[in-house]
Amino acid sequence: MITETLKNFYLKYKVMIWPLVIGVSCILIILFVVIPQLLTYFQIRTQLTEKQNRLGVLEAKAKELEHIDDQTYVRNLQAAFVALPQDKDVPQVLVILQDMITRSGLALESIKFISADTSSSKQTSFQLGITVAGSMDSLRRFLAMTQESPRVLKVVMINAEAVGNSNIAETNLVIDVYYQPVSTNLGAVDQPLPTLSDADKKLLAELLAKYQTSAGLTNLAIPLGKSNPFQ
Amino acid sequence: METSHQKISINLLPPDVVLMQKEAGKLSLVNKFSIVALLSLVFLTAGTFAIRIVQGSDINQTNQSVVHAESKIVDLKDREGYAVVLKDRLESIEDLTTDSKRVSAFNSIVNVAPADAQIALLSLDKDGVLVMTVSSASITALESMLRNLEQASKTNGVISKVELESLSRGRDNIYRYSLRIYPR
Repeated sequence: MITETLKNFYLKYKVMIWPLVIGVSCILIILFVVIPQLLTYFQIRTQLTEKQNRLGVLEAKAKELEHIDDQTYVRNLQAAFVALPQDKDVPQVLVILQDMITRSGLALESIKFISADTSSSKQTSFQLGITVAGSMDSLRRFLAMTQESPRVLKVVMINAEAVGNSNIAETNLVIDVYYQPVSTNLGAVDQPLPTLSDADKKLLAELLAKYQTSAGLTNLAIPLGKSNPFQ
Repeated sequence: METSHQKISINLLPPDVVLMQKEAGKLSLVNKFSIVALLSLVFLTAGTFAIRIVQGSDINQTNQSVVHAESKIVDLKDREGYAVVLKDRLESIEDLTTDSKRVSAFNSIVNVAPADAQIALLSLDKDGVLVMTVSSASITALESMLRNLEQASKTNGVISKVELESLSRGRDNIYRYSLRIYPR
């Protein structure tokens, strides 16, 4: 009886049944297979493009790193560290100041610490107060030398007073001496390799020139006392 | 004599059979369409799977290349450190050395002081304001000095304002004057 009914149903709707079954199957396959696959395809295509871009950047960075000359960089770093050391290096600055004072024709009367460390965003500085005596020309020469100093110094205050009616002035100078501890951030894989701008290269050339001319000063071992204290 | 080419078609089949043939034809057409649709879908699905497989292999290859490049960079970390530290230090040095206004102002002002004027006191504070006390035998030295300070070409344009704070003439006929000079 049921078979008969099914047979009649099939005979009656046989033209519609197959297209219907195939249509529904197509829709289901499209909804649950094709569309998700295509969506995933587009997502992965975006990811792939990003990864390929990153790969390009990383390969370029690796190539740049391979071409870095260690010796040149170490030398450049030495020059930069003389100009801006990682710690106070007080003996070095005293030697440099003393040398500049002597060469400018001034006479050093005293050197003292004025203030302890003051930190800005990156650099730290301490203040030295020096008292010198000499002519205005010598003072000007000394000030010009501070600008050419192998170490970064900044004259903050100048107080010059003429001694009697003479051409000699006694001058108190306050000088900021800078240093900068080494940053803990030494680059990351995805961080682009810093490149030196034209201004950087110019500055570096100046630093290297100062470093070469002041090699004797900056490498000078400071005698801290008599070699034989019993003499 | 005329020849006629008229076609005469006579269906001698019974109407039931004709109806069945029509239905069979319709069914066959529908089946063909269904098969074509099904095959197209199969191809489409197979195509998407094939593309995904190729894409998977591409992404694996790219991932391997990325890992290789990363390990290369990690191996050269020292050199990267050199470059980062050098750049950082150069930037700091550049920041600190560009600001040399005070020394320039000092040098320019001392330069414009006439030869017959003697600087008795000169003070340059943290804001770059320079106070100077000068003495001279004649008033022309003061005039000459003020004229020089006015001229930007002689002072390299570092001065914005000059104030004459005091002017006196002593019993010894020496002029003493005090100037306050503001930087630009």
